[in-house]
Amino acid sequence: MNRKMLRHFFAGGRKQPQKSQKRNCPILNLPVDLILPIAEYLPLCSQVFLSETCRSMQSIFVHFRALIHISDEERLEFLVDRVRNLPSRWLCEVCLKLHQVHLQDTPKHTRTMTCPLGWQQLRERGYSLMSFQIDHRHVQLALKYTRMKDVNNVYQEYLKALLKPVYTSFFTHPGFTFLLQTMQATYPKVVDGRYLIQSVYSYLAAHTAVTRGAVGDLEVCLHQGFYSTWDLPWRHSSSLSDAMDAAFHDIGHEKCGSCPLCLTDFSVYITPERAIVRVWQDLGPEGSALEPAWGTHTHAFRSKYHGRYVYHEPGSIRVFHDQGGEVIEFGSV
Amino acid sequence: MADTAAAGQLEKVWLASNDSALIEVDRDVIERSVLIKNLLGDTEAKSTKETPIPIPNVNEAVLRKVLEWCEWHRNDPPQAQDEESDARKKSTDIDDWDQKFMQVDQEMLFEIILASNYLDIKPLLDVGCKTVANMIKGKSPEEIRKTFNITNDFTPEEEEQIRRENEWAEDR
Repeated sequence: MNRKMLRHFFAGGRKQPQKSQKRNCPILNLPVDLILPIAEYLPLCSQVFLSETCRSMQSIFVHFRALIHISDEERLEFLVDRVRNLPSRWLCEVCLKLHQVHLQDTPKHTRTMTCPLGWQQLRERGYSLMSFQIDHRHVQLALKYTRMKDVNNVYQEYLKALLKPVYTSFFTHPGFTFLLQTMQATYPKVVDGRYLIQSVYSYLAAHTAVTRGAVGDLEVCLHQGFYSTWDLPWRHSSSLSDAMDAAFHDIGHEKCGSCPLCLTDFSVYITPERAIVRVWQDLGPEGSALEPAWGTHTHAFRSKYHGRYVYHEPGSIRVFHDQGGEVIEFGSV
Repeated sequence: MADTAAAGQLEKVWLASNDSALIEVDRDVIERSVLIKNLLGDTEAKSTKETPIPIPNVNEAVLRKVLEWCEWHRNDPPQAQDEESDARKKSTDIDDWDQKFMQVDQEMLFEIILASNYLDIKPLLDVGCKTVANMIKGKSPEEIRKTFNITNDFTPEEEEQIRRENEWAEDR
């Protein structure tokens, strides 16, 4: 919101704080003209919260109560601040509303998710079905409950459920009998206020040996894919496919790589009995789906970071996940 | 130019706070205040111990604190005239020294804001406003009340009205 708009909003509210409140309350001793420049440094939500503290502040910010003229992006930012201290709500980036939390809604079981659109619609409209297994609300809730350590026990129990590993198995192309089954385990973790996942893809020798062709296709992020079945011309070489090739040529030795475009590190380890691909990803800090780390991992239509990139020091997400410390970001474009 | 600057640094100015304290300060330090700078520029008369510049809205403790800031920032380049600069407005980052400088009780913090506004020291006013903004950010109304000792004087009816106004954001 620009300064002109702020002035417009303030134009009708130039009253001095009431005298009864002034004693022992230095902020209410400030003239309204000095509360204005402070408010200009505040996000919209904080301005509204300030207006809800007492009648004096309400009279100063009287016009801020009409939020109908803000953009979707501003509304999302407003709601991020509002939901921050509400343990029973989550911010839906599609409806732009705060929905009730359902304590059975976890990355493993999403059926009780409370958005009236339903899970499939939410995914399609929010960040496409093809993106992550993890939904943004699970990221935001896990980070919020980790921050609010002294919140009601019910939510701390829910936090444990949110951070439980998720196991799944699938065939990349069910009709192709020469492929091995993919077993995927995803382990969420909160480290220093950031939501990380480690995903482990395992392929065990069964009806066929562990070969390059038996692994099938694997996409670990939007930018890194390995395709042994449909190696189409537009599926250009990626760091992941290079690491896979190197690992198949050097059995028993781990090959590492990272995505140069998003916060993803990975490693590939091949033995005659199994192939294991480990992936470490940083989904970002507490905030909305507009966070760049989240946006670069997903087809998030609202995110200004969709189609943009965040660079990092290769391997630093793995280290951050295993040992703490920090992800070394080089910036974003 | 260099001679003028050297002479300027040597020149002293006397100020009188509203509690009658006399404070001597280098002219280029107090010229961080646009009010005093214009005053000194507009008049030939020199301020002395006998004829100090009165600062009627600021007491000694606050004035000394403001001068401490001016001393540290005496060589800062003049601020860009573009007051509407979005970049300046958006960021609430405060440099380390200023952050430490602003670690004072709330009464002093708001006195510094009032004094910097009166003396027209825009960068100091900005630092003060950012400090207060950072104290508000990310807090709920109740937490803001606690931080600034604000009494909730809404009637139950007014509270209900606020709750109704916020309903648009939430499912019922």
